[in-house]
Amino acid sequence: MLRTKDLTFSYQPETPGFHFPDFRVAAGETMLVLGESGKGKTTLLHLLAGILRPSAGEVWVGNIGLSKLKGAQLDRFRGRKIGLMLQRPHFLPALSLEENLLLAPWLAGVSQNETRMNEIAERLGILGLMHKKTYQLSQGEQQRATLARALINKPDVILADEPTSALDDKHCDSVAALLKEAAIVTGAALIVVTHDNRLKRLFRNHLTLS
Amino acid sequence: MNLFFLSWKNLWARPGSTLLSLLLLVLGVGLISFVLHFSEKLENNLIRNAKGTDLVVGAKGSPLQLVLSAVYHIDNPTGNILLADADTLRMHPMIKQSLPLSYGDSYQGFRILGTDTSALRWYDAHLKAGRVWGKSLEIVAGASVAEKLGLEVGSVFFSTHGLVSGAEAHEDAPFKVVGVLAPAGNVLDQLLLTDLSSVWEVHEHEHPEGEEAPHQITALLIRCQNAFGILAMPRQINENTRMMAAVPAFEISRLMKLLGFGAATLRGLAWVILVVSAISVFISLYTSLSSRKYEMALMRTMGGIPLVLFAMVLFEGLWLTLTGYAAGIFAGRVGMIFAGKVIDKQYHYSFTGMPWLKAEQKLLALVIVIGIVAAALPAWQAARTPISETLADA
Repeated sequence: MLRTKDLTFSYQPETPGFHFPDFRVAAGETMLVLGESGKGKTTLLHLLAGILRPSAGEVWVGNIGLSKLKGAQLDRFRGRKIGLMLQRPHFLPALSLEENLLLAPWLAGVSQNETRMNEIAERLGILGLMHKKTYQLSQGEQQRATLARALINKPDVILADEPTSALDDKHCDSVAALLKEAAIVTGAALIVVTHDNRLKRLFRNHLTLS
Repeated sequence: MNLFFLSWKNLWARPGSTLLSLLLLVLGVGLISFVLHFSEKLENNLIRNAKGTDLVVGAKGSPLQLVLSAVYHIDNPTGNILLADADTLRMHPMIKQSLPLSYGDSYQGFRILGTDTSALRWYDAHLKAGRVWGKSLEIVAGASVAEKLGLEVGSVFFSTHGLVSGAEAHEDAPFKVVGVLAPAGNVLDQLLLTDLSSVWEVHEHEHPEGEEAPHQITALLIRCQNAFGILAMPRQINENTRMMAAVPAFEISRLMKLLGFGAATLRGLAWVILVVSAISVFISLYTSLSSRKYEMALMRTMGGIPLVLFAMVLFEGLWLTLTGYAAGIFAGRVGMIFAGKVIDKQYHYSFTGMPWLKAEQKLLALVIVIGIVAAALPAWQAARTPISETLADA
């Protein structure tokens, strides 16, 4: 489902940048990307999401090479195929939770399926919070809400950036479990980027950047 | 979720700066709309009531005062002229038609106008009930006086001396209403008409017993045979008689120039406020961007193309100016209603009907342009939010 080859990136030309090992993650599978700060974890995640363009190499989602997609095409593709769970839960403060969740299909240009949204919200235990503003939610609720938003467009790939770094052990375990479950249920490839060593024991497949 | 909803929500997520921009827009648009309506109504009223009156002849004094009192009935008369002098003048070959007026008394603040029955034809007025006056002390009430004071055929009242209500009443000469006019859409609506002789009868006791005072009237309205008369007659009258002639058209244009200066000042102020409001819309959107940078990047990660972000911020500007326009137009009308109440109370003129003026439609186009111009730069800025850097910085 997700595959990379010779992925290289440098912030300035002529300077040595990051070279990432090749890997592939199949549908329903998970992979943990570990590494110290400054080893290019976030850079890799942005490359996989098509937010950054690699200096060389390629990322394939399904059988589409991201470098083949131009501007708005890439934006739409990202919106439809890649569910992103960012480091800090962030929302549009002007909107309620429900409106924030519906923003994802609207921006990706797919139909705003409320039934599907409610199913996901129910599974993640946030259905009762749909009309609250997102800043009124607890941190754990916000975390689950960002996961719900990442899942709503039935992505082929789920990318999570430090999903547990701010959580205590109990919540860390439950978010990890939710992520793994989401990957299996939706048949998406899940990649979790983290320096949180607690996750090591919860995921079998590791990639350590050095 | 759609663009309009999202922009609207974003706008009200920062109520402080949104309200400030709105307030300025309402002030600017409201003031312009108010001035437009007010000067239009005023000009209409002034022109409509002077229609058909080429000259006003009265006692020497201020020509503007003579016109305001004899044509619009909102000022005091300049004095009286002798009926004999007026009658001589009425024979002048350049005069097509003339109407003698005698006023100075009132009832409950509404003026009593002594004249002859040709006044109805002069002002194109028709009876709704009753008949015209046949002898002195009979009254035909204008439509709005009758309505406001509840006068009908058969009503009896005592006039008061002078033009303010509550002054000394003439209790020995009761007036009787014999007719009520249909609305004429001019100054007649707010007058109580009677015969010239009524005014003489009411004031008879003011002269010593036995002494026959010469009959006087207050003013004479004149319709000339042709334009040459309008030009030639005032000079003849002013130089050769004890009377003064004033040209309403000329006096109105002088008055409108004076009032026009006030209107121009207000309008100038309104434009300055509009410019400030445009700047405020710009600053409000621009400063909000720095705190919304992460939101913008987030929307990009969810598939939002730059054009969507551009449109979102552009619509925030448009929503703001369009809401301000609607509220401003509404405020202008509320202002007109209040101004109308004051004017009705003071001068018995009523301002009615407030159409969406051409100039207001142009203002709408202008306000849309303001919204687009003020939002364009912030919108462009939003569209080019760098995703990766912004997310990494957070």
